[in-house]
Amino acid sequence: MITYIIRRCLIAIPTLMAISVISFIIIQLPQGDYLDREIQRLEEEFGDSSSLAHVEELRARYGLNEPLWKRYFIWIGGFVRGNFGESFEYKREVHELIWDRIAFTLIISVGSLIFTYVIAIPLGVYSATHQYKWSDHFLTFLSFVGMSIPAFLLALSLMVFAFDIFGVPLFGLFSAYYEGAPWTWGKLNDLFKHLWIPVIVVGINGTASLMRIMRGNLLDVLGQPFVQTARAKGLKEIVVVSKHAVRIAINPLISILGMSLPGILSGSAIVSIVLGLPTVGPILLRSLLNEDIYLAGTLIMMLSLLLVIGNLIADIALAWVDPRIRYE
Amino acid sequence: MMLKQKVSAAKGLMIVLIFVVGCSGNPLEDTSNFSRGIEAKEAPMWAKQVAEGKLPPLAERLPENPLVAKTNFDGYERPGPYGGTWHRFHTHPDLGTWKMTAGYAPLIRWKFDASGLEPGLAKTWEFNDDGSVLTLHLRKGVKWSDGHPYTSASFAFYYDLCLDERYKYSPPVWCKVNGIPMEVETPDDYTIVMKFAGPNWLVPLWLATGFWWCNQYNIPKHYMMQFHPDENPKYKDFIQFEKENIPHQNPERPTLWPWRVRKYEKGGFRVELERNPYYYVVDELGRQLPYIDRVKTSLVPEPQVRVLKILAGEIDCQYRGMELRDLALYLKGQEKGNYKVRRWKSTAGAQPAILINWTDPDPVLRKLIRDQRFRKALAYGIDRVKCNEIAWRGLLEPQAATVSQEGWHFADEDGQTLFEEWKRADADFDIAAGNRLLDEMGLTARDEDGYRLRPDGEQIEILMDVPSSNLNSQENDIGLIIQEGWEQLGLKTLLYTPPGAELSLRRTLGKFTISMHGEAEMDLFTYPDWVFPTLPKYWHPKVGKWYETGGEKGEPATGPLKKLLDLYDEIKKEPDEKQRHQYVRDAVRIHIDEGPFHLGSAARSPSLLVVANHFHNVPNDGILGPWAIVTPATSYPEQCWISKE
Repeated sequence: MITYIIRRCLIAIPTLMAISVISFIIIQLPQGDYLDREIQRLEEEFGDSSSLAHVEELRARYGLNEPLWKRYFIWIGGFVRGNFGESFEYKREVHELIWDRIAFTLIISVGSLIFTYVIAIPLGVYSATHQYKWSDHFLTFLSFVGMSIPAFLLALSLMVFAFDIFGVPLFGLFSAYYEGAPWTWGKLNDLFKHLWIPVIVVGINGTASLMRIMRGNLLDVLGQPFVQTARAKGLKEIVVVSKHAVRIAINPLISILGMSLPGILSGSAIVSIVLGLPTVGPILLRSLLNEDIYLAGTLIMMLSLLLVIGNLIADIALAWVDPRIRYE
Repeated sequence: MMLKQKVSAAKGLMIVLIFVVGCSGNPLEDTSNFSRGIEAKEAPMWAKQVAEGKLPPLAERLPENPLVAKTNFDGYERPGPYGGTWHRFHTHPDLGTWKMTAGYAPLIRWKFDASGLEPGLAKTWEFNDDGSVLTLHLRKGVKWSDGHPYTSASFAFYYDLCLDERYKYSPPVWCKVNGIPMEVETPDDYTIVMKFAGPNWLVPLWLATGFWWCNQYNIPKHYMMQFHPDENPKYKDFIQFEKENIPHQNPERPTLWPWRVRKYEKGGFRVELERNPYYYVVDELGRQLPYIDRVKTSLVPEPQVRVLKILAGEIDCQYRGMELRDLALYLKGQEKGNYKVRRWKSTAGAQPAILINWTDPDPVLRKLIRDQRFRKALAYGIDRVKCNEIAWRGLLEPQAATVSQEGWHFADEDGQTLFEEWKRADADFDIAAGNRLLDEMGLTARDEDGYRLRPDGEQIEILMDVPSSNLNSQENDIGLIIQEGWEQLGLKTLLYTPPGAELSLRRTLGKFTISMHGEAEMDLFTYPDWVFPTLPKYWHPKVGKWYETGGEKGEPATGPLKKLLDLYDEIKKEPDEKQRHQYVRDAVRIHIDEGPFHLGSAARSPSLLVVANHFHNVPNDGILGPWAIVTPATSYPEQCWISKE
């Protein structure tokens, strides 16, 4: 088991290195650099870029005249020592910008994950045990709707309805008063009031499909001989289902856990942009559009790291549950 | 390690969250700090501190002759009470839209109506006879926001930095005459003398232009010296110095702005400002400005979120950042959101201008383009009415590409007559006339698809660069309308949508045939490049490069471009302002007679601003256009006030 974990961890290192090289190259593939983008932005917003008086001097200052490989090594050299470089757009050290965004991203992602499992598993179980009853048909219908609505559309609709009915804008994680205020119980409460929307919106697709998987698995298991045996022994149906069948049927959902993290992270990016949430997604998008290379590179690395860790945990959990995995 | 801590912290927070519901209400804005009316001479926010001796009394904080805010605009109501918080948003972390509002503390100011200059930090200024020495006399007793005196040493310090080779910025373009940088002398605390190698009459305009110049030359020497490598051996270079010197990011750095930055959240996501206790501008009654205590502004880069914020009534007053396409929505939400939408002018001369590259890389096309008949034919092929109706919902005016009609060069009747002629020059949609001109040029041979052939037998193919940005979706519509028109002239037209940076690179390097760019300029003396090919931009990238580098790079100016550049050289040497304006008009005459060099589409869009019903002293009408004239800062927004409801 230990050697398995160590081996998996060691594989993660070259994976991350490859990701860093590829992403750094891709970020810089389009023509031009940050300052060209900046000129373009000023012209778009104001029809005039005259506030950027010294473009060439700025280019030298940001090191944009250096060749690509040199910039990569400067960046990655700093990265391993915890120095992520400077964001051009925000004129700040990258590490000052990302940590609370990563924390909020995790809160939403983990929250959605919990939401997904907490809602999907009971509903899946219910659906399976009431196969072909009207309630099963109704849940099936709902889950198909849930799977096919894009998250951003749901976010937009929720925002419009909430605004129309309650007259409150639902974007952001805090109301205007608490934005930027120090942490208090009131602020925490305010966060909680806003948090449920992104959590549900991000989680809804996953919930729907997970519910279907749970239903299918359970139906499979319910048909197996050991369940018949349990029933024949005269156990109550609820004990048969919860204690014997569900425990087996839930097994594959653990491996799905690792795979659902990328989906939730990318899903939360789009929802965050729509809802104006302070997560990684919106600044990642902007940094890519603006060729803010060190910020974009760092964010991609951080997200990759999260994915690698997420998969690692899922793999370990799976290996722990199912010993056959370890010997493959 | 750090990440793990964060992960566990986040999980912990989630668990806490699940148990915390309903602890406290949502307190709204604190209104206890409002003064009752205009009797208060001192803002209540400071009155207590003055009483406790923590802050000197008002008389000691104001200069001998404070600048009195101008109120000569429609929409000014009356002096207001002190207090309140101004909520707004910014669209980019550099806070450009805020600096345009209240980051303008220049030596010399632009007037609000953009008709000329007025005193700022300098009371008066004068040139010697040949325009080679400019002397500025500063107001006595102006202080930085920390109470330290503002003197001529500040400007001298800035200029020393420019001359310091270790500092990345070299002396700016307006400091140099024939490539020789000026000399700065400060005979006393209140006098700045600039000595140039020759006449340099436009300097006062440069000092007044944009928020960026004054934010560069106003450096608090007494504070910044601690980061100077000569003073502090800890620093080997100016990197830290430059970081600390960003006025909107560093709350410690003293400022001359009406509101000083109190809190800057990393990345500029939220910025809080509060009144500057030493601000040097007063109202008519001699009460220190600003009226409003605090400003809270947050970064909202997503246009749709801005719309919702405004509709929800979360914004007290917002200049810039609203798009015309949302006008109907804003109007509909006025009552519910408790605000009014005002329409100022953008004064854009072309939204966008269709740039025809004078130095097209293809020699055959270049020859065609330099034939006036070809450019006129292209102009006749644009249905500007359709551009306006489809892309702008009829809210703009169809016209040829010009600069801003409100620019001071065209202020009198003659100027306006000339301008009207310029607006109408070749601005009619006339396919027959266009075809006639092309036939006249001898471009009569066509291929089997009906497209005209070039003299070398190839199909004429015009590639038009169209911005891909979702900010300017209008430009995509206009591109299609133009394509339709030019195809009717027998010219094969292709649209090309390069990504943003590539688009501007193609423009500055001159790698395009046709490109697009929004156009607005109030002052052609300092930003001449729309009319005069002085910089590698717009329709003259390579000739501009040639002029900018003194003939080292690019391509020499010939024909009408040479005439235009000669005129601009005259402007720089001309002492008489009236004559300078005349030179601009002469240049416009060249554009009318020998142009067009760039084509118009629609122009003069309204610029939206949102003003809450409790927000006062905002001009009803004004110009929210180009950056160089710093509006709305020139209307003294520090005299806006909030009525307590």
